[in-house]
Amino acid sequence: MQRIRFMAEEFFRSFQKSLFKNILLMLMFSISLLMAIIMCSYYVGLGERYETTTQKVDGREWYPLDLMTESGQEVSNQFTTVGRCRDMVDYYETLKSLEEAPILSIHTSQSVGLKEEDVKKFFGEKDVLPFTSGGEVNVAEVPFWDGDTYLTRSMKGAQVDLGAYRYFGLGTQEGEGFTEENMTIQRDGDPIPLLLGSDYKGIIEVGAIIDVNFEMCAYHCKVVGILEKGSKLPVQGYMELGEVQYLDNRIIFPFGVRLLEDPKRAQQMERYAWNAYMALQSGIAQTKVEHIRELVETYGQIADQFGYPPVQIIGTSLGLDLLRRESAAKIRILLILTVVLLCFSFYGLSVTFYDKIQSNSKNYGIYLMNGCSLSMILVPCLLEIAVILFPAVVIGRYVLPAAAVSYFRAGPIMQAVYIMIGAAFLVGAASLVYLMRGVDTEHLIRQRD
Amino acid sequence: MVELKNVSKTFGKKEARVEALRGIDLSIREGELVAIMGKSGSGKSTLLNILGGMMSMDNGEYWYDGKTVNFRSQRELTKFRRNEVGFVVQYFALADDLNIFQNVALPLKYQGYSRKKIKEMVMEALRELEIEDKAKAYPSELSGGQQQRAAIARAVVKQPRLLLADEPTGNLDEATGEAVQEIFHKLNKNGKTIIIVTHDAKVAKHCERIIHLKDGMVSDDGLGRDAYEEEVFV
Repeated sequence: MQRIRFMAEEFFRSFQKSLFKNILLMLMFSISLLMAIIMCSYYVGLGERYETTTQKVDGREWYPLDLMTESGQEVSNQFTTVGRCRDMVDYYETLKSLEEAPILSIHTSQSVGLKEEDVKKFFGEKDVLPFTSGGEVNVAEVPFWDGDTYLTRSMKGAQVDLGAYRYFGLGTQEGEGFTEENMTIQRDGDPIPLLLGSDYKGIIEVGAIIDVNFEMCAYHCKVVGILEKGSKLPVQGYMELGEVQYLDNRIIFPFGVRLLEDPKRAQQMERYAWNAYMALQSGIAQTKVEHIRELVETYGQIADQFGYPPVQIIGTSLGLDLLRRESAAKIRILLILTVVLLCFSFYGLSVTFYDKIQSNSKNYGIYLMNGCSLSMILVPCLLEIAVILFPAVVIGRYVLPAAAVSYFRAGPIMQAVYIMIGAAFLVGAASLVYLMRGVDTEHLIRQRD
Repeated sequence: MVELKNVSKTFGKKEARVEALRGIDLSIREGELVAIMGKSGSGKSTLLNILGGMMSMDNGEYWYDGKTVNFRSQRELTKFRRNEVGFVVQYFALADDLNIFQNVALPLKYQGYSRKKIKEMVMEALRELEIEDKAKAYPSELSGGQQQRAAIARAVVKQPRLLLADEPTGNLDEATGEAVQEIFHKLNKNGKTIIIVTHDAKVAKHCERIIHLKDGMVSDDGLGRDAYEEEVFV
């Protein structure tokens, strides 16, 4: 018991003596560990991603995307000028057109608002309930295309872009599907193409002009085709889950309508900007695992170009997730800083303990002379190293998982934290044992005050 | 009690090689007060450090109480130093950041005594050395003589059978040095085996036996002057 007490007293005495240095070392190790983990995660995919987040379809990997913002305000607040709305549209177009990572945008549970009078006109005595979501009739929250508000019925809908339309082999039994031509309109006011599920055959004709409310915006639309019976899409774009959404009783709204001429007012352009924004929120992108980091960097560069937040690839590693808003150059600087800080931390630890042993060698000699064992001198020093490294463990254990956005795998991250801390402790301990090797009574008796 | 057989110790390598001890044979009985004398570099401190288990020897054997002291085992050496030997050095070797009580208590902490027992034993040792009022003082607050008393108190507090002193009066004035010598005499009368390394004849003459070292070998081993006079004249 007394021996333990002696070691504890020695530990506290020594720790207190170098209190400032020890606190500094704690800070340095904690920060450098955090940065090292993030860098490892960024560059070598430490922590990887949840497997269920990615989808393997036809041997290729698809990753869900999101234009991650704080409740959408960060983006929507910018749709106040035609220019910023155009930037969002072009932002989406640029991302969609990337050769190495084509985007598909799918949303299978939408509601399309039709005027109740149009519903009555089209359906007549037919049962409209299978086509509705909810079934109630409400006053529209926003005016329709003509500027008036109407009683509105929410109809089942889905949304898909041209790429997804083609990829999933959707086809029409009447009219045409989505095409480059019909998805491109000259000016605001030109009708946007709509597709209808097969159950709409005989209810709404191809070529019909319908005004709809969709996602709080008014649209002037034209039915361009009726899908084949049994047309389907993976639910919310999650192909691997195996669940499909049949489109037979749905109105299919497009993602990615291209407007060639800018309108005069921002409110007119806003709907296209929203369309593009939602396409990015509902998108999935195909790329290989080894290209994820490059894609994140590319998305970041493109985001900078258009002044919008970068698209988040859901399920990327912790590092990619946290640093997606930073440029590749900045991240390289961070990497250098991390390495420098790590080296300094280890150097600081070595120097501190070297000094400690040198300056305490007289005391150690006295202890050894009076029957103390070397282990009773070593243990307090090792404990001191452990205490210095402890905050780094706490930060790694609690801060890292909390700091990261969802969809990363904590297990490998924590293992890396423990391995790094363990390595730091072993290096410190080995250095200590090496330094203490010469601290024997023979050596110390030769020393004089 | 203590026996050295053909003990040698060398320092340095190649051209800088120095043979500090060469084939030392020595035997010391329990309760003896022995002085080891010699010029600087004669090997006396080396001899004392080997006797105290603080320095290993290159050749030879060290027998203590009929058993060899195993210099290869750090554990055994530590135990030997802890239980059997008290050491006093010229420069006191007190830890500056511990007070006198804490310094004297050191050997007892390693032996696992309780706090109460430690307090008892330390205060008794301080009383014996007449510095009990200095228990809470730090070494820098004490005179040389008082520091040496504290060092002796630390050396004897654990009741070792063998007390080794390396130039214990070397750093003290004459009067203080004599006072310290008196302490050694008193301890020896109480049965302690004491070996003192000194170059001071005044210190050595009071010992019952003087061993002279020259060039790492025993050049003379005889009675101290007082012992001689006692033998011859009494």
